[in-house]
Amino acid sequence: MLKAIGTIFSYLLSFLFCLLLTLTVLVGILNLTVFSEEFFRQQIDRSNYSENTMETLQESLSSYGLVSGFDAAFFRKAVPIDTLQAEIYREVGRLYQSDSKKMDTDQFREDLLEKLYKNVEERGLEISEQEKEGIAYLADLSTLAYYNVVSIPFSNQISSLLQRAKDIFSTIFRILLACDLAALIIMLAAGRSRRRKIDLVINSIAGSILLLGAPTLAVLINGSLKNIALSGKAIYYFSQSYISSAMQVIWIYVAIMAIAWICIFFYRLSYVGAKKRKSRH
Amino acid sequence: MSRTSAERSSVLNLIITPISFFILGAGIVTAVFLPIASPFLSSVPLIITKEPPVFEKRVNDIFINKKVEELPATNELIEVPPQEIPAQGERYGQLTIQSAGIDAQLFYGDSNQELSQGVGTYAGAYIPGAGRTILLAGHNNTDFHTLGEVQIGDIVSINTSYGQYKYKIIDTRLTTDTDETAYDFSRTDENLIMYTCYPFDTLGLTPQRYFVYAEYISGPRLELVY
Repeated sequence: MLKAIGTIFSYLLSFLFCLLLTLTVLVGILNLTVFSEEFFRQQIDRSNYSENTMETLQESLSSYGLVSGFDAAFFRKAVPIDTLQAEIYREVGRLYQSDSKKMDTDQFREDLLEKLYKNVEERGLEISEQEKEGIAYLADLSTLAYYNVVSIPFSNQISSLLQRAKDIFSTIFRILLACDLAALIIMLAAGRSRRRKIDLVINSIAGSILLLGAPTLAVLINGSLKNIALSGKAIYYFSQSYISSAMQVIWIYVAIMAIAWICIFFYRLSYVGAKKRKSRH
Repeated sequence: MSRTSAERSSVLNLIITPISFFILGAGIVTAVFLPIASPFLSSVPLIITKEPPVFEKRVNDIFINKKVEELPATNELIEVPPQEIPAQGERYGQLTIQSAGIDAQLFYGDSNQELSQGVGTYAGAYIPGAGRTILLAGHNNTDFHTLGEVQIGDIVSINTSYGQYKYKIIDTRLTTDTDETAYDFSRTDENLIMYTCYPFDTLGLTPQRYFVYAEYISGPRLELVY
């Protein structure tokens, strides 16, 4: 009777360790992805976010140009990709470093206005007061278009939430690690024999691999992530890159756990083999 | 139990137990998180489409293969199949005002994308033949550059994927972009309004708009088939 209760108890501990291990890995992945500025920046680069955003911006600006006497070629050169990329990185920085300062578009407006007047001058055109107002209005609208494509909506609110969540989740991660260790020690103590203890650890790790790997594999096979209804090219490719990279991180963890599982499994085989040989002698 | 069968059952345990852990774990996660996640899960069909989005700028042209002379031109009532009714961004006709030298492709929708290629039809109003107000926009530096040259009495021809239409210009008006009296979408007779930015050769953006009003002369009336 006591033996049966002991077995059930050790299985329960093994299951608990499996859940804790899965949870720890998930929280670890959250810390490495959602709460990491570096990860966000990597996805910006990987998805060509700046280039795609530039394409969208140039479409808007060229359209304003069509009705204002400035051709598409002028607007293609008006905003250098480096300026846009630097501003996007600054926006990401604001998101992760809790900087409440809003994007400063005054410099962009000033530079654009200067380029517009230079273009008029190069074409040898005389401009009236009314046209000066029109050019200023064009610069205002272009600046607004620039702000709309570069800024991250609700970044202030998201930023403070991210900061709070980052602190909470890093504490949770540390608590979970301690719980993992405690559960492992109790589980190993509850195991009747050495082989039994090894089996419990193998079961926990294998269960955790299944819990982490199966849902991501299902999502991967399903392929519906490619069909996300995002109409903006830049944000669509960014989300694709973000999700696939997060999946990759999960798979790296699964692979590490699988290697650990294989190592323990071979250790078990050699242990059982050695024990058999010993008993034969 | 012999030593070999005990070992076999212990190896079997290493397969069955993790699968049981997975099923049990998934069950617990579902039971705990499903009430929280169900509002989000119900919106999944709204954010996942059947096909991935397409970003290449490819304009669907439902007018290009039409033989204009074969299209109905009288005031008869015609049935128009859904594929001939334009969707957002599609080119569905050609607009011509000979007196002003205007000959432009006609699109459904008046966003930057449509206006960069031709004359756009405001989707909040109607299409030719619907018996209501049609509002067309064009850029002052491109297709509607000479809109100011039209005279009262001039004829506007619009050939669409489903019929040929004629309108006669009856009025012009200079106003601002915020003037809502420049158009009336509640009218129950077919009428055409075209507008562009004013002055025509100005530099920079302008709040002034030049409107041209035309009345219906001929063209089939639509009976939409769904």
